[in-house]
Amino acid sequence: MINFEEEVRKFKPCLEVEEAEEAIYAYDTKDVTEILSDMIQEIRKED
Amino acid sequence: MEKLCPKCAKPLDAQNYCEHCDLSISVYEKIINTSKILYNQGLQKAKVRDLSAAIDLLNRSIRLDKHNINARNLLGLIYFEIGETVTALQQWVVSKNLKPQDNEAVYFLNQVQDNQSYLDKLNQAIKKYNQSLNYIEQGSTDLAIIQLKKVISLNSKFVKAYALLALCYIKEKQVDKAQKILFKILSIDKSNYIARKYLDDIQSDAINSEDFEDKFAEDPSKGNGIAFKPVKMKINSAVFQFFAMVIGVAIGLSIMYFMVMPDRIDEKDREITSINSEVVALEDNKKVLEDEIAQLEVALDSANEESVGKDSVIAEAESKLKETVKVLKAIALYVSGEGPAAADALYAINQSMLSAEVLSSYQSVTEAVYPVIAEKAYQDGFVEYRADRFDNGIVLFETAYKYEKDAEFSDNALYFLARCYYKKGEIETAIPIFEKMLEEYPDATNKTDAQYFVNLHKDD
Repeated sequence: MINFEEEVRKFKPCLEVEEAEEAIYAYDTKDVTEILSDMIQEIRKED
Repeated sequence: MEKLCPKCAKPLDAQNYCEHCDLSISVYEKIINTSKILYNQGLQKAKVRDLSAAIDLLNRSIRLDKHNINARNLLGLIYFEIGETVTALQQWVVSKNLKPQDNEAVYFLNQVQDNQSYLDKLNQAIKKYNQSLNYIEQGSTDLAIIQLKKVISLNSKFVKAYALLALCYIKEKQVDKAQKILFKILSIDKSNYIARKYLDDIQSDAINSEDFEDKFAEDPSKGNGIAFKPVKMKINSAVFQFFAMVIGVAIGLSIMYFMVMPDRIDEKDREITSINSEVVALEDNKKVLEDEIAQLEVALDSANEESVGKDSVIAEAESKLKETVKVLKAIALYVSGEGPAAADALYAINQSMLSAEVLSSYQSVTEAVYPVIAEKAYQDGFVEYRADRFDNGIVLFETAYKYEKDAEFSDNALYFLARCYYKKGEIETAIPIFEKMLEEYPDATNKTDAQYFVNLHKDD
């Protein structure tokens, strides 16, 4: 049985076009190769 | 020839290691290849409209390699397809920044930005979708449905809006409409999780109810061992009738409660128990009232005997007797499961003609009858309203308000009564009811809408 209140809570408001610029600036583009490089540098610093 | 790092284009050492990136080129190539494989899988999924799976794969692909422009552009395109306009723009803008030349994202962005009216239309759809979420939060599912229909007319591929509309229809028990919407979602995104989940729930509910009916309808003579067989009992017929009546009332009330508030079964179980005890109490009241009638009849007889000059006493006793009999009849109607008739009978009784003892019984019966009748009338009225049968809706909402003025739904009963008149074009009747609602229920759920209608016709 579907619980309406519980299901509705899963629906979040969508970003409006006016908010697009802010969302683009906030978008994290870091990929796995960059994360690996960061990790290696961290390890080297500790050594 | 010197090998260069594919990531930063600086020279590699003898072990194919880039000191600038701090990364072995073989590890880097494995990551890039995995990203490409994920893109290929995402593309395959997108081609067969398995968009949810494609989104998942493409997101993983760009997490491995942010320069996988094809994956990012395709991800944007899929987001755009399912109505997530801003998320699509976000991916295309990032793509354009990573690769400004010879990039399809530039074409996509130009297509959207050059058609400002289309972009406005999509933005309107998003705003209305967000507004419908607010309506649902305020308890106005009917307004949310209207708003979501507008959203879909503005953006016919807005999957989230379809899903929310289906959920609203499920709440309003319009399962057929919900199913159509869910199939529409699956025609856009064939593995959409929400649509599949809601459809499974709807179908399993339907199967469960059919199973129950089938088992119950099976012929016991066929002897398959499942059928319910009647149990023979020797019980005094009067006692049996009494128990049958009490059980009948309890079952009737429980079914009515179940229909009205399916999501409060546990709460209703407790209420059924209290109603059973109430029925027993009412039986006691009935005995008290019968004694009262006997006493009044005796008083009437003696008054008749003494009668000269005592006409007024007789008249008063007759009136009291009549009203007391009415209370008794109303109780009998209620006990036999005829709630609406009992409510009408109770409403017609002149309380000032009742003795203190009878009045107490009268009040306990009204407290049991009125809320149930009012809530049922409200729920039925809402069904009629949703089906555009406004004349029926008016009668039911009037009944709901007549019997319950302090219930959770009383403000909405007045609001939808006014809406029924409004939809019938009887504005001059609707507006005073909206005003009455605003005056009597200043914190009403639909006060903003009621005020809107009042303001709209202020100068008429």
